[in-house]
Amino acid sequence: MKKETVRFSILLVWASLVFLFGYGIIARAHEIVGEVTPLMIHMKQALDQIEHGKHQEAVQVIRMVYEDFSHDMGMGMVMQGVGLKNTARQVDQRFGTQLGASLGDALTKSNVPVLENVIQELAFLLMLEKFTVLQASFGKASASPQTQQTIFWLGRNYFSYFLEPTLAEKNQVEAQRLDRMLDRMLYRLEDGQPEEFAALQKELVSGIVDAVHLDRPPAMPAGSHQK
Amino acid sequence: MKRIIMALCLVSSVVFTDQLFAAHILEPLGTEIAATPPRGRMFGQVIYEYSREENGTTKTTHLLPIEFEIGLGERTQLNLEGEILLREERTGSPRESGIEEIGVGVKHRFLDETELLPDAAFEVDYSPSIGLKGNEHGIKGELIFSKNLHPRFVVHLNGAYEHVTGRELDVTSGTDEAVNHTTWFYNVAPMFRAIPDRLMVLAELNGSTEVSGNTQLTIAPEVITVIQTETFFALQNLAIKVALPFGLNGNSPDIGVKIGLSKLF
Repeated sequence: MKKETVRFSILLVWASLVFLFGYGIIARAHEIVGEVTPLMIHMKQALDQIEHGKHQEAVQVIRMVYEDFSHDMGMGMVMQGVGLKNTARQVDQRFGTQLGASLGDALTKSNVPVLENVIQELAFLLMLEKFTVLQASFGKASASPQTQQTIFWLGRNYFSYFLEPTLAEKNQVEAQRLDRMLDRMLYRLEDGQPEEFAALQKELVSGIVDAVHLDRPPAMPAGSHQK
Repeated sequence: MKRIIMALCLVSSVVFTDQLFAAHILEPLGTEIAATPPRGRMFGQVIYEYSREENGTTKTTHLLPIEFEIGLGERTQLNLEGEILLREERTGSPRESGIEEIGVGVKHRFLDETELLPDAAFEVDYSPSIGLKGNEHGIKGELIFSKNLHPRFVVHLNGAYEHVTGRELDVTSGTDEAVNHTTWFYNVAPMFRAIPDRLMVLAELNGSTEVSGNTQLTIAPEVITVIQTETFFALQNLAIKVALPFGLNGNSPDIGVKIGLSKLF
């Protein structure tokens, strides 16, 4: 009888471990799901360098990706990346900001505080841009729920990758509140409740602007509720 | 619009990575946290526990608690728990092993943390089978609080009350009678984020007091480390936990070790 119990226990443990490890592929990791581009990796690297007081290195990293660049992905594959200059220009066109000029100026003068602020502002506006695309897809038969969720995560990644770690170092409570707000936005998206999603997005924008001390964009692109 | 959506999907398929920032797998081994897993996600944990107690006789225990927590809603989770006694040896007694407990429960977070207030949750667990004979059942209610006191310092606090009912055979009278016992549980776990969301250093104070008066009290220094990889899915959202509990009074195990493996799916 005892042998049977031990055998059953071992079987249960084995099954649990198989379950734990074998089904990891079903659900991906929590916060960063999907795209992290080489440009994002460089921007993040620069923020980390600034945080650790390595200002010259941070400026150097951003200079590497200021113009459009090639990124060696290994196995003979090279990816062409849009540089920070053109990314900032596109964001300026959509939101009426002056990030391109600020970025160029910060690099010329090696002004690290401005550089840090521009990177965070870019991350914030790129997140908003994805959410705007997502909102424009609401109610359209051509937009599948999977595609909408992919776009949501592309936007959320900008918060989780750039803004949340920095914010958590200063105000963990607010970082957690905003993260849970993004969870709720995802649930509203999954439940097909666009108005609630938009209301939460508005709250999120206010929360991020206040917590990270960012500027509210002068204009919002078409498709957004915040015109 | 279609072009933009297609372009975004195409770009997303080019470079993939996963980074972990999931609070839930950072739950201490012996203390509950108020956070619940995201809706539709599951948290699994396997723990191996060894303890040794010398109190006139020597008792060594090897235990294997397994638990799954499933996010049911925005603030609610379902618990499925089991505890396997791998081996228990006591001087002068036969070796024992088997299923020690199975249980099911629900946790609901009723308060979100603010600058002043903590995260707060209430949990109810029902165990239809307790003890190696499975002749006991119990219900447990627990209040759970979590509060960030500093960006790198968080404290978890639990208080629980458990009522267990079992049937025991009275050898002298030959009758089968119901026996009740109740226990208060209290846990405190101050945690320091040595490397935020990668390495946590903490201490757990775990106590239980039976209404009859017996108290067990242990303190356990603990380390939680998160494994992160971008290539092997099974090693994503995975945490390894090691604790070394020491007994603080005569009724507690003298020394032990706990090794846990947690994963958020």
